[in-house]
Amino acid sequence: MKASALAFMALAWGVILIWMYLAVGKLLKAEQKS
Amino acid sequence: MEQRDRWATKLGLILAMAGNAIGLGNFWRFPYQAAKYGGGAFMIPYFVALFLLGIPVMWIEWVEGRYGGKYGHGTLGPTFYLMARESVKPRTAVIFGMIGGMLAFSVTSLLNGYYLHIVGWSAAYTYFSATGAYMGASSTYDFFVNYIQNTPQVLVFWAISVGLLGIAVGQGVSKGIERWVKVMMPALYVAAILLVIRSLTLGSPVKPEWSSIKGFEYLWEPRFSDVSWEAALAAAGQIFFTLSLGMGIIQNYASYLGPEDDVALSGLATVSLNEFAEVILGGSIAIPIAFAYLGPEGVKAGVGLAYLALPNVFMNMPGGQLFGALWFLLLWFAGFTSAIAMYNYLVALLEEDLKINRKIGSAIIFALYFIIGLPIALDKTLLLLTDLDMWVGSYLLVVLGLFDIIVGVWLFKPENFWEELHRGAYIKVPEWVKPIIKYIAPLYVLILLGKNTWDYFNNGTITMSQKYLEYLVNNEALISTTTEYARKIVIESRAVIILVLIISAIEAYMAIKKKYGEELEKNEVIIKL
Repeated sequence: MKASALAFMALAWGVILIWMYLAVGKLLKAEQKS
Repeated sequence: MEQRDRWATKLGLILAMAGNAIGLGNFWRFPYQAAKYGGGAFMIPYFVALFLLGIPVMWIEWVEGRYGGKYGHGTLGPTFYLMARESVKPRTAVIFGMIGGMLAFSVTSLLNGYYLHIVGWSAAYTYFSATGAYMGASSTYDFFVNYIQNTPQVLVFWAISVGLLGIAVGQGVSKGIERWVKVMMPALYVAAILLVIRSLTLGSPVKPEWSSIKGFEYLWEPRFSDVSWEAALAAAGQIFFTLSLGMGIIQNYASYLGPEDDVALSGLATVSLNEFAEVILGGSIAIPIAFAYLGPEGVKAGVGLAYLALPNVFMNMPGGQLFGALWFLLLWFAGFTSAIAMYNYLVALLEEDLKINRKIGSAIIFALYFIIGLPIALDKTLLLLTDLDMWVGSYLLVVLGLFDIIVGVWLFKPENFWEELHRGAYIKVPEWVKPIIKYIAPLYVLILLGKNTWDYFNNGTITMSQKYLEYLVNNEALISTTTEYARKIVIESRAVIILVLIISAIEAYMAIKKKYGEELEKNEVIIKL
């Protein structure tokens, strides 16, 4: 796989995975607290 | 005020909202659009549209829904009326209520009218894959055409899907929809992950230069020259479509929240789950698998990829029956969890506006979808579905999105909106997001709407020109047909749309008048919580 394709894929996947981890994780934590 | 049903758990709500957003388009439309408009480079306009348009409108719809729910409404007519009267007199606010109610009713009845058929096709193809019905067929196109022409068979799989939807909706929000999505959504993710694993392990089964990894490269290789204005607007359209915005269904689900429940972080979490399903899972299944077996030409089939090209692949793949069944089951789950939200919108409308019991309401909506769906099933060319989709599935959504912002932010007043967004919120949205919501998101929607209108005018869609009819006959018809037939179908489609718009505007007015009649008479706000 070409490096440019891999870079774009990794960037898009990375942004989404981190965002999902933070948003869903924080939501579940907040729910547990309340 | 009578107690409305509420989501039992936050997890149930988020899964329901994610299920609402994750639809068939995540798995077939996104990869096709990305490959067409610049590969990896498509992600630039895609993420820009997501942050400047998708997330703001998602927040607006959550806020609108929870606000309407506080007054006991899960439909857009009364909700828009209540929000608009913050700036204008009740007799003017009722006009916005009628527009919102009209558009949401039309989308949830007509769009689901044909969407449910596609859900039915997915159920049928799950069965055909599991039983190996199309394995060894000389042409998967002929197999599909034969299936579409067999109306009783089409209606059986339609009825199974819609019947199950009716049962789930009839059981209520917390005891029905929430329980169903708590099973279906994890199953959807598991099915998608299994297919991604299969896609990654395919190797080069046909030619050394064709492999699923080459398919990933085809999808992600950035082609900046393909990122035009058209690509930017296609990205914005995809964001609108994938997040299920402009349909009234996010508001409907949010109306079952408590008045102090978080919407800011929940909206963000819903979008993230949708993007995971679309970009990561959706981008890793159809195109890489098709590329490994059919090469670069085979993946250009557009939406035909799902029902025409992939069965061809499953025929030749080791374990094809199992993975074919898994693929169509995935599509069925994705379609089902979106269709259930549209179904619930209409049942809520009957329940709240006409005081019809939920179970009976559910049966009435089943009958309504049958009436709307029958002409679609009987049209073997699929042109009725195509023309309805042009207007309802692509155009009316954006119009409603624009009114979402006009009413939910501008008429409700930006400071009220900001306060509502932060009521009970688990996060503080930065101040710099405010101008995006106030100015940039509506501008985005206006440009998108302007471009759609311009295109529809130029290609004769609005005027039903000969050029448009020839386009339908030559490019969209499933089987060969004539422009005379296309004209008849297009007239039928437009007549149905206009009729439904008129009926739904009247219904929205009656619903508002029933509860806020005194306000309309005196032209002043009386009921305020």
